[in-house]
Amino acid sequence: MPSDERATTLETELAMFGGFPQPQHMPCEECGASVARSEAAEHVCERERWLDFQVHRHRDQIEAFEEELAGFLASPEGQFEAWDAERRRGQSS
Amino acid sequence: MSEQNKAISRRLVEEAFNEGKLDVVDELVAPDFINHDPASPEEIRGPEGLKDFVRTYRTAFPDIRVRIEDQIAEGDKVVSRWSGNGTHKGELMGMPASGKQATVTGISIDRLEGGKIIESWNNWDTLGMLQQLGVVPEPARARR
Repeated sequence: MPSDERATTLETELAMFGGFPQPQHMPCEECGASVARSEAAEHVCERERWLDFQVHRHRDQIEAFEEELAGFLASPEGQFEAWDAERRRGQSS
Repeated sequence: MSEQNKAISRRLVEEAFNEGKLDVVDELVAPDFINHDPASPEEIRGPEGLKDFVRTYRTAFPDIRVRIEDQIAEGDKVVSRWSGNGTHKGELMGMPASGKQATVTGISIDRLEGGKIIESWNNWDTLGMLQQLGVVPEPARARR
């Protein structure tokens, strides 16, 4: 949307509602934590929450990878690779 | 009486919603309880209806924490101003878990009779919750 049109929309909203309702808190895009808008600039993601959120966000890909891996390990090629990896681990220890 | 009524309203929030002690609903809520909430498609009726409601929100937000920020009591009514926070880890009204945390505020009025809550009126920031969970776009983003 062009900036002058956007400004008009905003003016209309302000005139009609005194500002369109917006929540005071929003989840951080990276970790999902609820952050007050006034504190957004100072927000630092907690590592554990960030990890949980990223795992949740990519759960479909993780599930697909796990299925793919299980399929590979069940195949003749996968079984050989698993056997070979075990053999090499035994040699290195 | 007012202080007792405040304590009953507070216990329902803290023990049922925050701690998941659903048995307390039978103790604190009258059999013919009715809850009016514009965010609910139907009025919640009776202790079992309220337990279902609590279960729904505790399933969607297992770490839910509702804090009573202020209470005013007069006659048979208690007004509570509250804020709630939780991580969306379970399905809620068809919305799949988003992993996002939401913070909302609301005001509830409870009417008590014989030491039990018999009627409640709730108004809370449903739109804010939907915006925070990403179900409803924020106006600023929607305009882009």
